[in-house]
Parts: sequence; structure tokens; C-alpha cells
Amino acid sequence: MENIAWKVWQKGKICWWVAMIFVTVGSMVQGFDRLIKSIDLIAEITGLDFYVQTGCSNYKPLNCKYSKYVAYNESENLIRNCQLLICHAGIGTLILAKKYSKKTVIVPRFAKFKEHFNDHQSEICKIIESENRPNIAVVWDINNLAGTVSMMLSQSHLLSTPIDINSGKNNIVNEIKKLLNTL
Amino acid sequence: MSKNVLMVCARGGHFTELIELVDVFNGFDKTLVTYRDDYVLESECFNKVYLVPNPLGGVFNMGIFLLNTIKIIFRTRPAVVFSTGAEIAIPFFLLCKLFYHSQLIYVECSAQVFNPSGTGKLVYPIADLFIVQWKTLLGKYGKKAKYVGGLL
Repeated sequence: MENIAWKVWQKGKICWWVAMIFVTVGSMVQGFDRLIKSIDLIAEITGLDFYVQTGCSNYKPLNCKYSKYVAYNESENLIRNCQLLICHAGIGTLILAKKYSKKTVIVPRFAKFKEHFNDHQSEICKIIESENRPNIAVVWDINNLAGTVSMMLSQSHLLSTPIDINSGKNNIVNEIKKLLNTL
Repeated sequence: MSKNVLMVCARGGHFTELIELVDVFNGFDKTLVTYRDDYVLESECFNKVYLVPNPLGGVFNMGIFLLNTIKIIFRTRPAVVFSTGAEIAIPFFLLCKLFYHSQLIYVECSAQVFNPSGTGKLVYPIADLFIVQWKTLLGKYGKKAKYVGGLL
């Protein structure tokens, strides 16, 4: 079976001057129509090359390629290869974004729009914003999304921003190893 | 013979965190337990993968889930149980400690910034290693909780 997401990425790679933007809303059981709708609008107006993973959203984008879910390995590939990542504030996506030092635009899900059970995504966004990482932008108001996306796309130097990726992970690994050595 | 480690997680971020940390257990026989779902799970990191139904999906699912849990635990006889979160870990932690005195490792999800999770509160008393990913959580748990940095 040929993989749609992979095909799309191949297309993006051939036309390398076209910005390949990966939009993902994770594996949540609730939809995120607010984000998908405004991405569709941006795609219609600008003609940028988006690939959207819609999850359980009801809205189906008309102006960009999309699929409901992508396999784990495939999503890692898409995140590694995209020029810009737009995502909800889900931990899985954010960890992968950090792993590959991607330029990331985060749009948190809000409980008041029935996009999540609670507002923990706002908490994550607040704490990330307070760390002032240069290649991450948080969009609190969906109307600012287009502006933030074009701002992030224009800043090409952010791609090479070195980030201390592994310190936290290594420490956790060491703690676990300490326990395993006692077995 | 290598020892068994049972790795338990829910989907989404919990799964990504577990994959990030899976290499620590190289040398062990790795068994993954996670929820059955309509997105594709492809991973070569594990020796065996069990997919179970979500117990919160009704009484019938709960029954199937518990039967599966017991079957998996008796088949695996884990020396270590490792979880990055969500309620799926609770029965595995309790039963493995009870039957096999397994070492229990719990890493709180980095989505819990200010408030402890329900699962975290429940497994804290029996966990052998309990790691939180934000400093703000240290005060919410007891002395056993450790903060050494986060994945995020």
C-alpha cells in the first residue's frame, strides 16, 4: 500500500522552493476544527504547500492534502522533513519538534471550545513561552495564525538554532539505569 | 535468559515519551501494552506488542481489558514495569507488585505542569522510581518523587 503522506512529502522535496508545512493535531478523540479551518483559509489565499493530519475534526480542508491519522514512524519523518510545523500543544508532537529543532507554531486546544477535557495545553504553552525558545511561537488567538506563520517562514536562520536537546532525557535515562543496575 | 520488562502506556504523548526512553531497556525482553486504536502502530523497538481495548469504553470493554491484563501479566512475569502514564498503568502496577514483586518505574507525563495526575497519585505509594518532569510538581508529591529535568 502506498503511503499518501510519504507521496506528499516526495512532492514537497522535488519542489524544494515550495514551503512544506506539516499541520498535526495528534491522536486526540476531540476535533480541532478551529485550526483546520484557518489553515484551509491560509492555503486558499497564499497557495502554500500544507499537509494536514486532521484527527477527529469534522471539517475537511479543500485546499490542502490531508489524512485522518499518520503512522508513528511516518509522522516522525514528516516532522523531520518539514520546513515549518504547526501543531496543537500535545506532548508527543512537541517532543519530536524539539528532537529535530523544528520551527514550530503552537496553537493550544481550549476546553471552552470543547477541544480538550481541560486546559492543560494552555499550561504547557505558558511554560514554553516563559523559556523563550527562539524557534517556537505560541498562537493564543487564531486570527494571528497567518501573521505568525509568515513571520516564522521568513526567518530562515532559526533552522540552525542549536538547542540543548538531551540534558533532561539523559538525566532521566541515568536515573532509570541506576535502578536497573540493582536488579 | 534476559529479564522481562513490561512497558505500559496510553496513546499520543505518552507513547512518544515511552519511545524516547525505550533504549534504556536494551538487553531486556521488551513487551509493550497499549490501547487498540484506528491509527497505525509500527514499531520495531519491542519484542512483543499487546493491544487492549480502552477500559473506559463501557462495562464490556472493562471486562475484556481486565482479562487481558491478567493474561499478559502471567505470560510476561515482568522483572520491571515501566509506564509513562495514564490510567492503563494502574492495574499492571498493582498486580505485578502483588504477584512478582516487580520494580515499578513511573515517569509522570510532561503535560502535568502544575497539578499531579490521578494515575500519578494512585501509583506513587507503590512505585520504586517516580520521576516528575516539572519542578512545580515536587511539592505536590512526597519525598520519593524525583526531578532531574524533562523531555520537553
